[in-house]
Amino acid sequence: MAPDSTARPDEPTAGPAPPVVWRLASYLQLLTIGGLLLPIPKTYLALTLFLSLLLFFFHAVRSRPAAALIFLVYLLIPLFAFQAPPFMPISLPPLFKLAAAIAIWGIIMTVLVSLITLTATYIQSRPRPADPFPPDHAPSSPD
Amino acid sequence: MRITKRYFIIPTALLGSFLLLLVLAAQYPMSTTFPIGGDAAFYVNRAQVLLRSLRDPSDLAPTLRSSWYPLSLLIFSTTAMLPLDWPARFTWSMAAAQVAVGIMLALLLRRLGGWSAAATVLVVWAITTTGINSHVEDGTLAHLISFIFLALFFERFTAGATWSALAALIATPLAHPITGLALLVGLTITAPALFSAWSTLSGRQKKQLLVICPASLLLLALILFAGKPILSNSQNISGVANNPFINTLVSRFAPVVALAPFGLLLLLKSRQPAPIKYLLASMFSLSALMAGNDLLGIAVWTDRLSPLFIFMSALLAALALPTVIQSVFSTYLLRAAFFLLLVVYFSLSAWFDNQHVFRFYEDPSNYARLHPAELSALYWIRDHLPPNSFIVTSDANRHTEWLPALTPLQWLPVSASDDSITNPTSDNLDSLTYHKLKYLAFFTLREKIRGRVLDAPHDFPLVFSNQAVSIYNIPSQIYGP
Repeated sequence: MAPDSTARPDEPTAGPAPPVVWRLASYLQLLTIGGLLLPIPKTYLALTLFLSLLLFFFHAVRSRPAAALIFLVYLLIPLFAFQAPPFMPISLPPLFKLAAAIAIWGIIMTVLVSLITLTATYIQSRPRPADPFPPDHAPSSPD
Repeated sequence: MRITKRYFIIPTALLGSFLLLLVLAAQYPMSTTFPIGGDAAFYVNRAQVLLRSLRDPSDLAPTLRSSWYPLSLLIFSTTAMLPLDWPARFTWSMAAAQVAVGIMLALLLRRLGGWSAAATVLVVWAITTTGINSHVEDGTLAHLISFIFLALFFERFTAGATWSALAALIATPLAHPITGLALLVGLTITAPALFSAWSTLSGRQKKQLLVICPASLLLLALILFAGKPILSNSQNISGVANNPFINTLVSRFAPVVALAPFGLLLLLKSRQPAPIKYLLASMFSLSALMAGNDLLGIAVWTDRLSPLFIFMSALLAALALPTVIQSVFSTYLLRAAFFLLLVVYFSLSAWFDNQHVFRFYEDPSNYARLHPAELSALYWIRDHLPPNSFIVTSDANRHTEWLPALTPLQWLPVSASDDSITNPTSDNLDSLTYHKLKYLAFFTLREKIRGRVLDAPHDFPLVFSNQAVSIYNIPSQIYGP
């Protein structure tokens, strides 16, 4: 996918070759896709998929920590959400129970993502310390 | 090589993917002789009511207001201009809506991931026609149409447009309330995170959010207020889903679901505008939570919420697949060959699965849709009975819903266990309906003819009978004083 929204969508964006981790994760992902189409035990495939996502995640943490954390929040919340959320009123009628589950998980997601976003914004907007060695006044080499 | 890619590989992939979508969508009307899905008759009937109300504009507003999906109904009603009968208009409308959703998704993916992602989403969406999405099997045209506006909203939102995005936002709940609710809830969940990142947004994005977010909150409040009777209706809540969420995860769609989380990660890592990144992330999360509500033991609207999860998974997987292929294969030739292999596998598997489904519905012995003998009875009613007479059936069989859609008679369904079936309007001499001709139809493939009717052939003369339908006249004199 195009990493830069200003680039024309059909224009291949030049960039460094994908790192080893990225490549390995891509191989695992393709293995999962291929395996899902064949009669292979699904436990192994789930493991492959999990490994590939883990590798992608670690790569994302190194390059864009905020994106990776938001990804985790959005991905893991629905997985946990198949359990009743905390503070869930159990005696509600079914439709209201679903509405309550969405509302509670929604609030948790909102708080977590907002916290991540605020932290990322703060880190980006923090004034950088002045460069102790500006180019014009760089210390002369020992020689 | 770049020139070859731009002028040959990408246009060929796009054209091939689009043709595949066309072929798999048209497979439904081309392989069937009558609509499948319980809701088809309802849409045809409502469209006819809407068209009749056009003669008197004062009837139009109440007709639209009483509908769950007025915009979809308006769109379907325009097919009256086509030189086809209503059943064919319905099946071709389903195919057209499937193609239109694919085109909208491709426009969105072109913006998010380039032309290769656009070609990929056309293929992924094409294979969902039957078996994966239940739109065709359930005949839920409005729900399918609502995805056109959902994809359009995402596309306009990504483009940073304000007013066209607002128009698409309003159109989505008008096309189908469940899709609309999911979008509005997604926007509500996303809004606080976006406002917390206010300082990083561009002027255009700020203007967009200042219009879209309050409008979505207002719409959500309106829907919750106006749709209270619909939302509190418990008829769709069974506790056990007809088609459990887990089935999607182990179907031929499973590879797409496996790719979707990676697509989400790629999207968040990209430099796309923050509003669309957060919105798609929360919509994916929300759609999984809502579609899987049977795992919570609720099973509310699972058949309508599952297609939303499939839609979101298709969107994100189409972002991921080109990147995965690009990372693994070093040359364009290998990438194209692998992509082609996947497309051939998926399209053949989808074609044969669809064919299997359509053959099942077409086989009269399965009695999975209106039986040909029932259809010929309906056409006999249309051609031989007086247009302003009543026809009464029991509600034991949803096939009777085709009566008002295919005949000009007024249809009155009564409970199968109701003894008043032979005098459903409780006529006496003062009744307005007393002098109207009344008929009683039994769809005998699913119900027995009442003993009272069989025992009194003079009171209930048989006017038509074939292997699937028996029609009796109800003379008014039997209710006389």
